[in-house]
Formats: sequence, C-alpha cells, structure tokens
Amino acid sequence: MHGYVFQFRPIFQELPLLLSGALVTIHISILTLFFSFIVGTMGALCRLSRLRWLNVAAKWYVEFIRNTPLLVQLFFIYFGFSQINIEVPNYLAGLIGLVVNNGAYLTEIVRAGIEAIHKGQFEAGLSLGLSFPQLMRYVVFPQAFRVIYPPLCNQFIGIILWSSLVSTIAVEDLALRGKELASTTFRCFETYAVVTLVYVVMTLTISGVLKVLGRRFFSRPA
Amino acid sequence: MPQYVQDSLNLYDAVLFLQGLGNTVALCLLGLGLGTLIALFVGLARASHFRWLSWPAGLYIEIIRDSPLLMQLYLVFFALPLLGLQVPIFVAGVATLMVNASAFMAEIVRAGIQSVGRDQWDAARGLGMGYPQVMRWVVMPQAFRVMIPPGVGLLIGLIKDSSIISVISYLELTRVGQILTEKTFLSFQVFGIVAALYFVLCYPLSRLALYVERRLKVGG
Amino acid sequence: MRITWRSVGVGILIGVLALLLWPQAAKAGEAGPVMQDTLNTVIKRGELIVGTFDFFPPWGFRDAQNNIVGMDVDIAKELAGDEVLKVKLTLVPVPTTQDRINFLLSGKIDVAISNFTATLPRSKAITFSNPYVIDGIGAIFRKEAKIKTWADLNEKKVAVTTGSTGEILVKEQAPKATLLRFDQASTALLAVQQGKADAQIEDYTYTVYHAGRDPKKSLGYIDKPLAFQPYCFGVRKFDQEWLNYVNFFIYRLQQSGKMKELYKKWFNAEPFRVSPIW
Repeated sequence: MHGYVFQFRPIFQELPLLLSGALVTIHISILTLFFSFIVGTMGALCRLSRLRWLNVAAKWYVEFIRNTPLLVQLFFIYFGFSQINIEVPNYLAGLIGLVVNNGAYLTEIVRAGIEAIHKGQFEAGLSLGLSFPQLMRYVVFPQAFRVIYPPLCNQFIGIILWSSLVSTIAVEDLALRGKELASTTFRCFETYAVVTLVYVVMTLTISGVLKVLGRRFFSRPA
Repeated sequence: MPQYVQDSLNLYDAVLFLQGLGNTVALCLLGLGLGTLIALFVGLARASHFRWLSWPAGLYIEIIRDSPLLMQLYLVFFALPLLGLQVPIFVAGVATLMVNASAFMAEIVRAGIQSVGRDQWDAARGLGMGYPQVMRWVVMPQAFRVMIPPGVGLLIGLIKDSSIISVISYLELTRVGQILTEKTFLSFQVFGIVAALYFVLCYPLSRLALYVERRLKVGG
Repeated sequence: MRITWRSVGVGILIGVLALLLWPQAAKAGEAGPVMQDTLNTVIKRGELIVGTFDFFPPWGFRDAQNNIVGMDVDIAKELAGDEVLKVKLTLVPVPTTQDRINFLLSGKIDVAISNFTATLPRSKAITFSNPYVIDGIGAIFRKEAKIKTWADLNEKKVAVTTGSTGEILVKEQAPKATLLRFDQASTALLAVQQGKADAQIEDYTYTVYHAGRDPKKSLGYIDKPLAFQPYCFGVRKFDQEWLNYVNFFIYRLQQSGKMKELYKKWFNAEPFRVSPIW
C-alpha cells in the first residue's frame, strides 16, 4: 500500500520506557484493588443492612456506576469537579475514578459472597456471644472470601485493562507511554502491537499466579 | 477578530447530544449484532469436542479478552490501513466493537450450549437426528434462553465501552461531551448530562435483563 | 478462570509472531515506495477530505451551531472550491495533535490543514507543503506566574499537548519544568484555567486568542512569540503531483491577497511575511 515495512527495533529499543509505564499501570491497579475492596465491602454491608436508607443509597450508587461508562466518570471527576473549584491532580483523579467504579462492582461481588453463607452460621456465631465485628471477621469473611476470590481475580484483571483509560487524563501509564512512543517514532502499528503484547503478558501472568494461589489456599474442603 | 465565546449550552448543543446518543445506539446495535453472528461460530467451535476447533477458538477469545479495548481500537483504525485495508471511521468503530463483543459473546454461547443437558442430546440422537438438526431444533432454542440475560448484560457493557470510540473522532455521545466541553468549558454540566444519557440507555436494559432472568427461572 | 496451558499457547504464539517480524527490523525502507495520486483520486471521488481541529480557535473550532469554522476551514473551502477541483468539502475533525499524521498515513484524510507546524522529525513520516502562514510559540499563563522567557518556566507546571512542537521546545528550553501532557490543547488550557498548571505552551495565535477571551481575565500571554513556526499543509509521502498542486495553491492564495483577507478576518492584523519558497 504505502510501501510500509514493519520495523520493530525502534520499539524494542524503547522497551524500558514502556515498562516504566507498565509499572505505573500495576501500581495504580493494585491501589485500586485495595481501596475498591474496602469500598466494596462497605457497600455490601450497606446493601445487607436493615437500615432502609443505607440500602437504597448503596443500591443507587451501584446502579449509577454500572450504567455509565468509566471514561465519562473519569472526565467528570477530573474536569467536572475542578469547575466547581475542587482541585484533583491527575493520578489521584484516575485512582478515585477507578476506585469508585470498581467499588460498585465489588459491592455486588462481596454481597454475593456474604449471602452465600448459610444463615445458620450467623445464628451460631451470635449465639456463641460474638459481637458483629467479631462475627464478620472470624466467621463470615473467611468463608465468604472463598466465594469472592474467583470474581475478585477477574475484576483485578479488568482493573489492569481498564486502567489504560487514565491515559486520557495525562497519567503516565503504559497506554500513554505507547501514545508518546507512537508519536515520536511515527510507527503506530508496531507500537500498539507491542503495547498490546505487554498488556496481554501482564494479565496472563497475573491471572495464572492468582489461579495457582487460589488452588493453594482454597483447595481444602470447607 | 471575530471572538467566539459561548458560556452556556444552547439548542444546537441539545441537538448534538441527541445526535451523539443516536450514533452510540447505532454503533452498539451493529457491533453486537455482527459480533453475535461471529460468536455463534466461535462459541460452537469452543464447545466442540474437537481439540483442533476448540483450542484456536479459545485462543481467539483469550487474546481479545486479555487486551485493552483501547489498543484493539488503535490497531484496527491505524494499523490495518498500513496493511492495505481502508477503514472509514464508523466501520472501524463497529469492527472493533464487533470483534470485542464476539469474544465475550462466544463464551456466553458456549455456556448456553453446555447448559443443555446431555439427556436432550441423547434423546434427539436417539430419534435419528443428525448433528445440525440437533443443534437447530433442540439445543439452540434452549441455549438461547440461557444466553439472553448475559447477552443483555453484554449490550450494556458495549454501550459503555463505545465511549472509547470517541478517540477516533466518531461523533458518539462521549465525543459530543468533549466537543461541548472544549467550546464552553462547562465540564460539570456537560459530562453530567452525558452520564445521565448513558444511564437512561443502560438502566432500562439492566432491569430488562433482571426481568427476563426471573421469567426464565420460573418458566423452567 | 484462565487455564494455564492455554496461556502457554498464547505466549508461544506471541513469541513466534515477534520473532517472525524481528528480521524486518534490519531492513530499513527497502520495499519500493508506492506512488500516491491523491489529486486524481480527489477529482474522481468528487470529494476533498480535509483534516482540521475542532477545538483550536481561531484555526478550527465549533461555533454556536456546532459547525466547524475557522481560518483553516476557510482555506480548505478555498482549496475544494477552486477552479480545478470544484469538489465537495468534507471536514474530518482530528482529535489530537499526532492524529493528524496518523489519519494522513492511514488514508483517512487527503490533506491536513490544521495549524500544522513543519518540523524535521515530522517530515520523516509525511511531507509538508510550503508554509501558508508563519505563527510562533506563545505561552498562556496565570497572571501570578509572570512568564517572560523560557527560563521562567523552570520549576513550574507546564501544560503541553502530546506530540506538539511546544512540548519538544519546553523539554529543550526549560528542562526543569514539570510537564503535564494532554491529548488536546483545549484540555491543557482547561488545566491552566483550573490552576492545575501554571502555564500552557502552545501556538502563539492560540495563546493570544484565549487570553483575550477568558471571562475572569486572569490569564496573561507573552507579547512576542518565543519561537517562529511555519504552518504548512500535511500530505502523504510519494504524492508529488498533489504536493505540487497544493504548493501552487498556497502561492496563489498569498499572491492574490486572499490570505491577507482571511488573516484580517480572523486576527484583525497583518500576517507575518512568508517567503514564497522554502
């Protein structure tokens, strides 16, 4: 067509640059997982609460997040809040956006995990005189976690892939490094092919490791 | 010099919002429709007993599910033409969503097929039906019912994913949000409206999925 | 959950692909260039597809009716409507700076008329026409920041557009400045307005225009451009006939006084003098 010849060497030469971006991706993904798990747990407890307003508030949070795109949520947090004079630096905005977004999905995952536990467990624990926090910590969570683990791992993989959107608000992750590289080398196909490769390798490795860990810790019978 | 300053949204902007909404819907319906067609084949291959069919299908599904949609879009839009394939903007958007949807839909198809009990297969074979007949008259109709709730979920996901198509300058809803923010700098209002419009699209669908799921469970 | 042996298969496939394509890295542009003939393609198609910006007043932006207007748009209209072409004009708003090159290379547009600064590195990928206007690099900044020269940018947060000439110049001239990269000039400007950045480095006419239109009057701009930049049309490589055509078109545009007229319309000033050939 345009007499195009693939040249991968300029891309592979800049691999350290791409990998520094990959590091930022992993960094923000892990932080997101941590915080959104906390948010998700709180959300799940709200959803299971007997206080109607907590229940409804959490429900609307989840519905709103799950029915709007992450990109719009990121733009809203980064640009929208600044307009009403709440300053948010870009990495923080990306993190908050990802946490708020994944928190909604994790709310449902954690809730499903807790609901999967037989009611008898709660009653037995309460009759033993355990307080609510103790009940949660020693009875509910260990069992719930087994149910939560597979969807949680899938969610983490999703976080890594969708974190590429923070590149649109100037966070120097793998996707942004890829864009930079494509613009300096003018070789978009090679750059994006390599960046995709790095993402695939990252996600496959991490999901493989998580699966092995899962087998190790959860293969014992309940 | 002719200064152009716009400090609030006007009627033309409202029209643009509706245009963006319409374009998003068109993009997603086409992407899902074509993607489902592909997914039927890939899903069947994946559920097949033949390793030479199920393994490459699995590879296809795995690679697409494990790479970011943004990168898939760039590859389709910028890279394919370098190999001789001209791709206009709308086609590139549809193609990317189609390929992406096909991978996720294929898994749904596979799960649907595998949800049909073995006894159904055996009974149909016992009646003397060949493989295509079994598929067409016995398995697929039942699998179809199982596929609808996650299928609707996929459509919702696709509508949200279509926001990425804004980066190739296609006039869908998120791009309208960007254009209007550039013009007026009213990002809070503009993106608030954009989010609300997406919600209006997706929420009814998610209620529909729940409704269908409940109806199917009761019906058995 | 993912099955590990399939992951191995994927890894092998990717590795094989990379290895297969590696030898290409040694050859540098060996394959024969394919000659382009955009001029005849445009005439045959009856449509000229021009890439412009839609967020960069006054060169290419959206008006109240959300039509794309601007200096570059007017020039594109002249090009499409001239005596030879007389074709329909289709404007493709290019989302970001480097997309001009990407869209051009992938055949989405016939020519890029979008305050495109000619630089040597960019000339490796595409071909530039003769300059049709001379602009410069300016800075728009919050009045408290008081930027006068490149040196003032050090130790400050500077918003730039990814892949723009401004970005490259800041890296050279003010290495100690903290760069905030954005996909588009308008988002970079928003960052300055919202205080996320102290200054934005962008094309001179852009900074003058926006400093003037800021309702809060809190933005300042530099009087004289920090550097001079020629704007040219961007076309694909190996497209000699088209390049000759647009070059002559530009010469005619300036010689007939049309350029002066348009510049006056949009900038209410005289354009900088452009030499007729490189």
